[in-house]
Amino acid sequence: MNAFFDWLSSNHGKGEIPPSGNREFEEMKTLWDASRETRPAEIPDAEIGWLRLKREMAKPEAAKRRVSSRMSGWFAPRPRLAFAGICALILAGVWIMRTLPDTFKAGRGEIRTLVLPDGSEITLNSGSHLSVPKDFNTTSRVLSLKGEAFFQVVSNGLPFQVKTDAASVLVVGTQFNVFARNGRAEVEVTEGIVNFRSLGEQDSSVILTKGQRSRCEEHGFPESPRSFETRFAPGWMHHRLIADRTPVRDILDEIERRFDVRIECADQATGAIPLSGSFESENPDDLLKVICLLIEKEAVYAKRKIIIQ
Amino acid sequence: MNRMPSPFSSEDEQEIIRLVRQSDEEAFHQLYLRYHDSLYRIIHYRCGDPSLSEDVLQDTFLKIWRNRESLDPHRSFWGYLNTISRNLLYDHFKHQKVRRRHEETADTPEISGSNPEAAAAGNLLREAIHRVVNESLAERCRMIFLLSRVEGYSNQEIADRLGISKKTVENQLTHALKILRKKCSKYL
Repeated sequence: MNAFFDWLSSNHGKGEIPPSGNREFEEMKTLWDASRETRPAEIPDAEIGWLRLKREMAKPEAAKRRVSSRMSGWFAPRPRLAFAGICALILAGVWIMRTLPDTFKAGRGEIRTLVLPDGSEITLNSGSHLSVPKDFNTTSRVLSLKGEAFFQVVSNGLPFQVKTDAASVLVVGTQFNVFARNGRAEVEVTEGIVNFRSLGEQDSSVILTKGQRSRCEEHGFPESPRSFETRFAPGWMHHRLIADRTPVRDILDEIERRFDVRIECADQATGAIPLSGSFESENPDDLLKVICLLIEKEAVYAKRKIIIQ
Repeated sequence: MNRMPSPFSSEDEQEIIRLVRQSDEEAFHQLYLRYHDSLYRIIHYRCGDPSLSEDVLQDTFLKIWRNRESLDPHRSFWGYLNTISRNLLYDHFKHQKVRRRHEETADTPEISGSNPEAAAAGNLLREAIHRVVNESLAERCRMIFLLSRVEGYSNQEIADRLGISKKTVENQLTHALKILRKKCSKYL
């Protein structure tokens, strides 16, 4: 039972009884009524839209940068032919080449979304690489990530695994963010359950549920789960930068990637200061201003780079 | 207003999606007609730009068609549409921002989420609501709120469409209203 909706459908909500003195509900009702869109946007004709769409559907896919279920388009037709020729000469090479994974990359200042053959959607943050093996979704779903990405995994019976240098993340069907840079792996779960396991000799794992995060250094153990605010998670998809005891240098690296700028610290020690907080990151200038304020430094704009001193 | 693609039986939709997976264009046509208006209104609510809304809508369906083999008849198609359109819109603004940074031409309006019509009508409360919905609600909460307030579905209809319980819908809506109440207190 939901208190507000019960109240709304009762006589109080219909206004048949004079104000009941429940100010919260009265105000919520005002908002409920005011948020009703009475003048919907003028809608373009659906059938005309369909005809336009049909034309687009008939066009070959190559024109657009999209990930098809086969994920081809890595090579243009001609180089591919030449490539095949070479492969024929080096018979042993054929097998190796066939098993090479496809790589997807989001450059600096870029964010890229892919749909994998299983329907899972992955958004790559700036400066990230994702490798998808050729046999993805046949007997298993294993990917490797360098950088940061948000995963919306469709459950289809096959386990879904993301490998990074420091750790691996195993899920069934869920939404989570993986950060994998500088030998560190961090996972934030926004939906479902995830098994976060360290790689290497220290083989240990933690289970993370919705609203929990953990991190793991290379050759280390995953930290025990800490809770986080899922509303703006992951920060980079909500124009925010979220730091949790993050060294200043890592924060600056992230700003460099997101906005394609260069930032240097005059004093190396500055980079090691740990910061926590959730910052708006609509533009690098305001963001730097806030960070400088916290570490009591100043951002100086030089030619083609920014110096923190 | 209630041009809701009448009683939405989920079996019926599962069948349509199965056909789309097998590259049946007519089934895809049906799906397009069913969701066209709702999706357009929701994208428009987010960006306030008619021609951009139309482009994002078309690209959303195009993307679904091109990835049709990966459609899952057991998952809420509405949720899928919503996710893809949101990402496309997000990519659009992201690219626009990057481009703008390079061109160094600032001062073009950012994804404001404000509703010019409401503003023109001097309706500050409605405008504030619009802004809070676009900027401060979590994605799932926003989707449910828009299905209710823009699309006019009842709580039960939303629950059926998304395959969740009515109680969850009511909780999400209450949550949205509480956030709105906090953020719009000036206008109450």
